[in-house]
Amino acid sequence: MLKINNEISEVLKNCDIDSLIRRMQAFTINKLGYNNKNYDGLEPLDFVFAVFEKALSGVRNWDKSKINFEGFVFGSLKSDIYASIEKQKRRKNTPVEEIIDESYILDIPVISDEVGFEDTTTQRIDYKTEKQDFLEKLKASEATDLEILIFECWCDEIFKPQEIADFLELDVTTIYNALKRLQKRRKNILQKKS
Amino acid sequence: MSKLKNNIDKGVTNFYLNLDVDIIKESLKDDGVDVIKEDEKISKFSKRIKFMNKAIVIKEKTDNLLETIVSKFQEAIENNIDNPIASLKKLIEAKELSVQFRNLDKLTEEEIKEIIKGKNLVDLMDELDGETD
Repeated sequence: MLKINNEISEVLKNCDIDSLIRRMQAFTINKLGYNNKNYDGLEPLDFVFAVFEKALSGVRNWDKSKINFEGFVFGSLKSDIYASIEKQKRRKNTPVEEIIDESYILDIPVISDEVGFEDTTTQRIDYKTEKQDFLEKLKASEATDLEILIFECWCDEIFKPQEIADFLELDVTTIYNALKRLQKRRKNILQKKS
Repeated sequence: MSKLKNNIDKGVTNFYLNLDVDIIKESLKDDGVDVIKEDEKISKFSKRIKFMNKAIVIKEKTDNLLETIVSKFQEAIENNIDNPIASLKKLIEAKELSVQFRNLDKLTEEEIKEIIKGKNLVDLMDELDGETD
């Protein structure tokens, strides 16, 4: 614990925590939306704060040799969001008014879904077919060219916002706005599917 | 997770990991969020986590030091090393502790902690180091 907290001290000294919290908050909203019911009486920021508290108290242990601090807290946040969605699922009687993005959650073990983690345990799916199928659904839902291009970037493993912006010769804000639309569209597609 | 879902997830996560915070704030404003009020809340929280972190580090250091001192006293009692035993007896007398503390062989870890309580641990450690060197 002392070693971890000393390492966290170093991060807290050198990193813009306020900015990290904002990015985590935006990520939470991206996954759970704005509807209060999806937060079990809490707010998106409360989810983020809980991640830091768990890291400091040792409920979740950061392994510096495996992942950087930002990747670790994002991974923890994903696990908490997953747990929250699972909790809501168990309360079947309470309808979730705003559709939440649980599409990425398929038996993800806690923390293992961090950035850089490659899941090799699941079955191989025909990537090409799956990609084509999703592309058709995007087109059918009248996705813009930019939304489709962002999706294609991800398929080609171009992930960082600046890299996508440079590749598409656009600014990051434009990409971000399109990403939000794309995420909403994806939720709707998945909702129809279920 | 299928490769496609994994890639989408990575894409979304990477976006938020690397996105400029001003872009996020603008977007939140557009969604009707009171960003200024939230900035205050975030600032308070980040001060709190820095404080919490410092407090945990200090507490853990103190706990570790306490454990080391207790072990040193236990070792001294077991091996009958005069000087640390004398220090311990002095502490017991100064605190006017009950009879149960007089029989050093039967002192438990918790009782040694009780004897040390309130003493400057760094000074005590220095003293013990000097005595055992």
